[in-house]
Amino acid sequence: MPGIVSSALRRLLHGALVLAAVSVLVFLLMQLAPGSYYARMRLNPQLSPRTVAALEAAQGMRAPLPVRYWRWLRSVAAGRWGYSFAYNAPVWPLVRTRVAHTLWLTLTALLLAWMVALPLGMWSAWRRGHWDSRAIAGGASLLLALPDVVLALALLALALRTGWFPVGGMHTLGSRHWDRWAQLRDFAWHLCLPVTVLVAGMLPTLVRHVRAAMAEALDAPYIAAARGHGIGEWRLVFGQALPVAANPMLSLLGLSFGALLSGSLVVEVILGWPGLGPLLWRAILDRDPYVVVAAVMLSAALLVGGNMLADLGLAWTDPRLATRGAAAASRSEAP
Amino acid sequence: MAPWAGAARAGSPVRSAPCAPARTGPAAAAAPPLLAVRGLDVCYGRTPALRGVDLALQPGEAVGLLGPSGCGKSTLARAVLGLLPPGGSVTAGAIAVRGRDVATLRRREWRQLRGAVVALAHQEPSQALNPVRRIGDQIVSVLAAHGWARRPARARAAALLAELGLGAGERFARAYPHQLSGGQLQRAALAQALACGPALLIADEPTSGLDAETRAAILSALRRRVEQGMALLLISHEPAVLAAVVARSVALPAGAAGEVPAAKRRVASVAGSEGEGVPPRRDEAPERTPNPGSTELSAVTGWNEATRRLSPRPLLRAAGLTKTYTRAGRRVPALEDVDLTLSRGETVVVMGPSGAGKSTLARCLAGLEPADGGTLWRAPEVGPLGVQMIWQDPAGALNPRLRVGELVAEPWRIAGGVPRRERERRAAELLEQVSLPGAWLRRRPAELSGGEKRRVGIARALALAPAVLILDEALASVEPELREDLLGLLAALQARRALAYLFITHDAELARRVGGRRLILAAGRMEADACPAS
Repeated sequence: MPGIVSSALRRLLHGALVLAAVSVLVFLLMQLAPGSYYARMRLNPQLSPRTVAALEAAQGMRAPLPVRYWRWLRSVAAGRWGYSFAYNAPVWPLVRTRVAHTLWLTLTALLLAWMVALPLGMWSAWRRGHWDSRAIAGGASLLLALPDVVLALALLALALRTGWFPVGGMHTLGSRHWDRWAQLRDFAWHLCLPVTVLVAGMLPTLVRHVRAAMAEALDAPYIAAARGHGIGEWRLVFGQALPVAANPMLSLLGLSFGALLSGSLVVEVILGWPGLGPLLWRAILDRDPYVVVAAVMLSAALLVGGNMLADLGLAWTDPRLATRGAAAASRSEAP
Repeated sequence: MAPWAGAARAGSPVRSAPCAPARTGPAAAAAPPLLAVRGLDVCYGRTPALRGVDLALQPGEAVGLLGPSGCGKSTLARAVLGLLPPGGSVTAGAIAVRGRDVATLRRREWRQLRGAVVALAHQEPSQALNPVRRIGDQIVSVLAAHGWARRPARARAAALLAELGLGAGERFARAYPHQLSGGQLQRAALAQALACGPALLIADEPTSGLDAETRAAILSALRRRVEQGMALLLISHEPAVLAAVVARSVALPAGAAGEVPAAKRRVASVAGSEGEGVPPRRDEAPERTPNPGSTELSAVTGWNEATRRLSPRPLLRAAGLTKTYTRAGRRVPALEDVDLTLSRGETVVVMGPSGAGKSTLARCLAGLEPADGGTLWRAPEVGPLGVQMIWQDPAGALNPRLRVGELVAEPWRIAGGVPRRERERRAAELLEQVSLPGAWLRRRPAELSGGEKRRVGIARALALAPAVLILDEALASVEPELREDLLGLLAALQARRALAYLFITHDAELARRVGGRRLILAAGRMEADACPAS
């Protein structure tokens, strides 16, 4: 057990280092990007150059990069995550609610996508060479070829023409005064279109990975051996092949966590979802640096955290990895 | 209702063999044979693997199946269970179990037959066990598939493991396959096959790669089962193994070879026991080129001369090598303070029983696994790729998706700098050196016999022109004739390239045959460093 704890601690430390490196990199990139918030402001003839310079100095943007980085770190420690020039407010309260909205959307989509992809991929692997397996593979390829934007626009047109679905937002106006159940239904109704687009975007990759992992596991000689012992197909697939195939699937799940905040940007902008996407999009156009940094850092944190969870899951499902970790731990303990 | 259903009922956890096999007796005389194979042809694609095989087994009868490498012994076993790999099919003849033609079986009936009436113990246990499930659970799921309840199934699994010498409480039942040695895996796979008390066990080389003690334990377990009424089809290339268990042996000639007249290809049924079984007839496959390193003893002598000619120049030196694995929170020492020196052109044999740490030593020396303590020195001339392994399990070491040509050429592809054409030419050359026809570059591992996979393994290990070859039980389950071939080949290669060999084996006979310096490893410790009797 101490082996697991120490390896988890080591992973946490690695994660923190990765995040620190990402923050430095993002700061450098923001610096290298041409233009700035105040450069745009100077184009405004109603503001005197001196006012703009004073504002810039007041926000500390005249200070050298390391100083700004240090100030940003202190601001993160204080829970403000820097200051948004465009919104004239600390970044964290601005980002927090939008992150929650985005996570509602993307977590629902991720869950649905896996719930659809797992059975489809497993069925497709088990029925390899049959018409239904080919149909699934063909459908996945078709979806893969269809850009998100096209699908989002098509669904938007559908919603506009028919009025079956809301064309934007998270709630109907005035729904605040409805009872809880009606509010929930309203929310789900608003979720339909963006979730559909996101699921359609994730599905082909997931199906193909699940199919490949399962097909490889089902081809293994020990599955043939188990079949030779009279174990039924159902148990072969779920009891024997799935635990083996779980390894690559968990890695993929960890990666898809990283896309939870960033993957829905386009969809949110097109379908008017009040998430992080529109905020980030505006921030990038406005050169509002700390909002961008905060969004990137949150994405990176999700990616690191997702991979850590996936590694934990791997250690749990694949005993060969667990022993290797433990062996490494016992090695490091040895004097 | 399937004809065997009455006897194969596995519902009640009665202690005495719940799936009681039909007894031989006056009543059984009129009954159809347990297994009847008539005029069986099996092809892989267009390549014939078996031609006109006839075989009959009465309930409770033990029959041995002898035959050279590549003659289709394993194919026959798979055909009986309806488990031919994709591309393989029965093209003529019939298989009947208890009088019922298996071609007419439905999926459900197959499932009742497999494991409970006819069980198969696979030749390569490391491939037959699921890597992410505990040994005990894998045995329990076989029992569960045949109607056993959880608790009695667990008890039976523990009893089976104990019967095969894997006692020690829950330790083996809770272990995963990668935590066991080759011999232990073989026994675990056998326990799985015996779980439901099948009426017929097809044991495919159940003692290959085992030390003498374990081998005797397994053979006596099989004999006990036969005495209790189980029928046994024992596949082996060793007449001595067959003689220890079965009363009657049947020889399967090299099946796929197209030159042998049809009449000769029929299985010759030979009565008798105690080594009177027909010695393996090795019909010369026409495409096989003669071995460049001849099987003559002179080649083996030349090997020792080569050793003497060269002044001992150490290539590899280990001092105080230590390695400990942690299993279920407990530390299991695999190597303790092992010293070893290997010089240019020298042969060192490491002997020891199953689980003594032989494979761990090989992996540490090859740099595949870091040692926990001690020092490992390599001569500069050895280089990073100068130590190559030839593996215990030839199938596990070959990627099943690649063709032989790609497998042999893979080291050059990884190292880079060798154009594709050149790689193919060199691969063909290496194949020729290990006596495989160049046309086999296009084959995949699944289309090779165990012996042929070994040759491919040797060719692949030679690709990077290593200074040291580590042979981890590489000749363990090879029939004597092929073994002589391979030994001759290895000797010729050693003489030509001044290779250093580290032979790892449990087999005293093989160790004597190989010669060279002999070390004995027991429970992770070097026990003796004996020089060979000249």
